Amino acid sequence: MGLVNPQKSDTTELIQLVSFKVGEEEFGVDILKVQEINKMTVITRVPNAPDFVEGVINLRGRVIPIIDLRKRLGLPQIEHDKNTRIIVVEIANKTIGFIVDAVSEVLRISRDITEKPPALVAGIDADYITAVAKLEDRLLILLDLDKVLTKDETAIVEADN
Amino acid sequence: MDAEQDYSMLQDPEMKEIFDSFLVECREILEQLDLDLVELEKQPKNPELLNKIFRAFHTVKGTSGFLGLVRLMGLTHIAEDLLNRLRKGEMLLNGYVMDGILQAYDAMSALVNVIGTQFNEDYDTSAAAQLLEEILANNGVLSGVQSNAVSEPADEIPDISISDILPAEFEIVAFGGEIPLNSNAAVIETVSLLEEEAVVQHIEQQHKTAKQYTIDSKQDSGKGENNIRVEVKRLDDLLNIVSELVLGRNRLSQVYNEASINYEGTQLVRDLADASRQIDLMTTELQLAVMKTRMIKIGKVFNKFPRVVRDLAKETGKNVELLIHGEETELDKTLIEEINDPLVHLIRNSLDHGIESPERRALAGKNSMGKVILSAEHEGNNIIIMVEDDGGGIDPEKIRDKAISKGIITKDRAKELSRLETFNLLFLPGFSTAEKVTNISGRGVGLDVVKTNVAKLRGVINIESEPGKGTKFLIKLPLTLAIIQGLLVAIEKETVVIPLNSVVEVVRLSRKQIYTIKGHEVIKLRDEVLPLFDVGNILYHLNGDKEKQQWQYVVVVGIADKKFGIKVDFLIGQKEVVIKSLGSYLGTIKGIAGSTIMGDGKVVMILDLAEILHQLI
Repeated sequence: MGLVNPQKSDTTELIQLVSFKVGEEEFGVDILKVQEINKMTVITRVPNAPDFVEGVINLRGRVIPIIDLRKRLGLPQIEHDKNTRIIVVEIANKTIGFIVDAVSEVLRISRDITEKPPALVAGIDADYITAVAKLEDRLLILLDLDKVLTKDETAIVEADN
Repeated sequence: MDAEQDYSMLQDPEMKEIFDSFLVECREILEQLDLDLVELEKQPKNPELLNKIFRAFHTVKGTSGFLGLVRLMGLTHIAEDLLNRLRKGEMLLNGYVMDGILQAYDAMSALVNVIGTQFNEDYDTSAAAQLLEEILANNGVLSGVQSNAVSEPADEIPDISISDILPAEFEIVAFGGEIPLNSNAAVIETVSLLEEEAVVQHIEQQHKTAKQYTIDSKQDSGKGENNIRVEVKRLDDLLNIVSELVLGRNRLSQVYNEASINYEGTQLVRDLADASRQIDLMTTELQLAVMKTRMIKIGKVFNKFPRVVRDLAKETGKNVELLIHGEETELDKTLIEEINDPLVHLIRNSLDHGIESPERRALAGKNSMGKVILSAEHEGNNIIIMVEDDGGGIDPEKIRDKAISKGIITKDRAKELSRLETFNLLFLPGFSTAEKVTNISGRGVGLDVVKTNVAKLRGVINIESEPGKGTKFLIKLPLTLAIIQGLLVAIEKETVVIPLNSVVEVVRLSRKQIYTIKGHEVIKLRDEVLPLFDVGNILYHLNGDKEKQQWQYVVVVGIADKKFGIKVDFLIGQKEVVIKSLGSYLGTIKGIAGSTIMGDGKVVMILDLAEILHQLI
């Protein structure tokens, strides 16, 4: 529906994004949410933790949980390689790392080129997707990482406790 | 009057410091007052005590007037009047008067709490004030009913020693300085009162020698300089930094170990060894020193209990005496905060279920005065807290019957239980042997909560009881929660820490020494048969081919009174580890006590064996 009737926002405000790849898709998150991007490091498994939690890492003396975005988005697992990155974000005062296949670039886009997402994109529940940005040669899915860890995860974490 | 009363001053940034110190002072006064009041009931004629209590109310009255807290001032004013009569011997202290004072105290502490949290006086103290007025009007004699006097009228005006008057004198000076700042009518009233007293006390003071004066004033000024108040947050930050330093130290010693292999015998390695050793020593010292700053005397918790016991004894109609030992014993602040509730519960339990009624005690040939002993002592890196009563004790048979009737255990199982195991049944959820449910305890939610709370602090609780003689609860707690001694072991490729306090021993067994009973692996260690668990499989779902190995390392752990064997592949060593939480996102995870960062920067899990094994049994 969104594609047929694009609902353009009325501002020409620029937004700055970090774009990364998971599977075939390219995603973008608000740069202000991103604390840092790290290379893959040793992840310690946490027994009895929810399934999508890959484990924890040592981030300069702090222990932070790592979530595999592939698992979270329901994509098949692949071996981590030299392009694999951990995007460390701060969500609701919690520091969490997300594993992504590769980080592409930092880009600045105008809100004008973003659209409300279609109901289904690549099998991902549209809840996580705030918008789709139409770049010249490709589409960028804007992810809301707050929502990536929404109720059902919180529920799982709580049920596990 | 409240509607017109302006409390905006309390939130005025300029007043913040004064208001904060008022709250701290009030709380300190209340804490001490709590103790003194219970003591007063025992020594109703002690003039020093009466003076001290009078001064406590007086101080609160003065400051609250200054801050425009009319309700608090009104209440303390009446209480002060009453105490003034008591200390002058114009009124005698009986149960009726005591109840009035205690009620005033309760209202006052509730009011101070409200003031501290809501910045207003939104708490109704009129009942307490009214009671006090009534007592004053009746001059301490409960009209119509014969009051059960706890004291005889004082024959003469009690002697006031110099030490009693001195602090009051200082106070007056202090308030005198503050008065011009405020034009509040209430304060002026206080001032005139203060001045009146100053004159009286000044005359009294002239009778004392100058020599005493100098000695006392010296002590008083010395006290102030030796202590400073520090925000807990600052201490927490300090502890965090030290924890990081401990990690750094661990890293350094690891680098040294690597260097000593690669560059053996060189001057560089020797220097590194020296430096590393020194850092090691200093870090340990620093860590200890920081830990000490966070230590608080357990008396802070214990001191609340005389009042609790007094009230409960009254409520239940029992005669109970509370003895406190070892209130000087120190432990970490976080523990102090958490241990209060479990102790309140145990004390209530002792009074409600433990101590018998005076009649029953007389029948059993015991002193009609029941005894509850609350004590604390250090034992190595642990603190032992005991709650002991000389009451009816618990009959193990009764516990077994109850457990069977509640369907908690089977009859056959009940027969196998040891004495200690039987007592441990009391800690199971939904277990209560009290025949009648009272509002003090016996709701069936009790000891299990106590146990959970103690376990959260990595402590252990045990019961010893002798029917007819009494019951003893023993709580063993670590001195601190931040750092533990751990045994580092490898389970296949995962490294984990087992808290050393639960490790009994480590053995290496031949595979032939592992037997199977009904599909469960067991080992025979000396005369004991211990269940053997494969934690690697349970936690990490590892299913390595261990059959080929000839030897199996087994860590024997003791949880409560039971022992278990844990299969591990390698023993890496013993290490002091700093516990890091897994963060608020993961929260608490079953079977994991936390994590720690190793010298090489890798995170390893600290196992909560009690929880893991609890799930298995």
